[in-house]
Amino acid sequence: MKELKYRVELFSSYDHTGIEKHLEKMAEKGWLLEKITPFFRVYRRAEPQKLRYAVTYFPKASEFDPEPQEGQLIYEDYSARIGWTFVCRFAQMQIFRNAEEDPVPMETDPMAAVETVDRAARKGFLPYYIVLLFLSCLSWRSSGIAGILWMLLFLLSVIELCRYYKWRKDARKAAVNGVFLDTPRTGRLQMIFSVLLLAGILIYAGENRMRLIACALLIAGFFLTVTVISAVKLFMKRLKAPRAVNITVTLLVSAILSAALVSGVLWVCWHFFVSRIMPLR
Amino acid sequence: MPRQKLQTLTEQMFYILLCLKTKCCGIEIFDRITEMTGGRVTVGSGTLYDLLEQFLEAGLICEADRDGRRRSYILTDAGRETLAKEAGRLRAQLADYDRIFNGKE
Repeated sequence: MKELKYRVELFSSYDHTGIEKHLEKMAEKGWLLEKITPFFRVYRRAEPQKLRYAVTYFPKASEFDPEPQEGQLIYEDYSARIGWTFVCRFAQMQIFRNAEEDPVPMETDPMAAVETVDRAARKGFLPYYIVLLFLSCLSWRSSGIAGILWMLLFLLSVIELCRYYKWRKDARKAAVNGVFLDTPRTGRLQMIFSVLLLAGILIYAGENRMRLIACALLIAGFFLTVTVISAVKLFMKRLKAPRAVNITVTLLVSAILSAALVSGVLWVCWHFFVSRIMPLR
Repeated sequence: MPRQKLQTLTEQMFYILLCLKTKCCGIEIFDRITEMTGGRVTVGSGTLYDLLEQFLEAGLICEADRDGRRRSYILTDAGRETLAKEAGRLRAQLADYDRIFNGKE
């Protein structure tokens, strides 16, 4: 029987309510979260059990830190004091679990909780979707399937950003009255758009052989590039490189690999195209 | 009207500052608040950490001692003043309640 399970799970990073409920369901089925990677959540088999999960945020943290900051370790000490066990962290997100049926929550001040989520969102979720929105606007002249794909990305960015800002506004209002507001469920939206984007890519790739080869190479290259970049980041962390050095080296490697990937795909397509028209000459 | 940051205090902010009238380690604040309020008020670990950071930034508390990761804090003069203002506000509220419901002036 498998001991580890790797799952692609689509939640917006600020959707702590959705992630918590999902992790609790997984624990009831006998799978406990072990770690989060750029592509997967890794679960380990365990006895099915009722656990409470808490997804919290440490805005000052970075994936490029050589080790957890002292503040994060103090945060863990405080949490352990009231029965919360640290599970894993990824970027600004930290995940804890508690076996008690009705534990003291980790967040008991709704206003402080909303502001913490917002500070963390400004470092990850918001820049990501703002850049995606900007890129999709730049590509508005694209036609055919490519145009539809960019339109989908534009729509996804707009919906995600609007939902976040609406939640933040409503959560702040609720917090004035001492009430916590659940985050909107983002998993389903992400799944729908992922399916539509994948379908669009398959249709685009299927139009002719050159596109099929280009798309296959780009997708394979993308996953390989992200894997190598993650490995470089991890290697720099193991060397205890300061955050700024890690960011610089990782960005440099990202730029080189991305340029190599695009150049490689263009080269293959050009050669494929040239070799097709050569016999005509 | 939205609460102005740290100008009026939530119950948890109030009790954390109250705990720090004398030097207290961050991790002991949980027990002190439970003892002080008979279990009526609880503070989450995330909330405690965030509020201590906010109070430090605002100069309401300062670090009194450090032993590895165990940090102790104590109220500053600004913290005592903020607490005193909040106590005054709460007394005024209670007085208004007594006047309306119990006819006391």
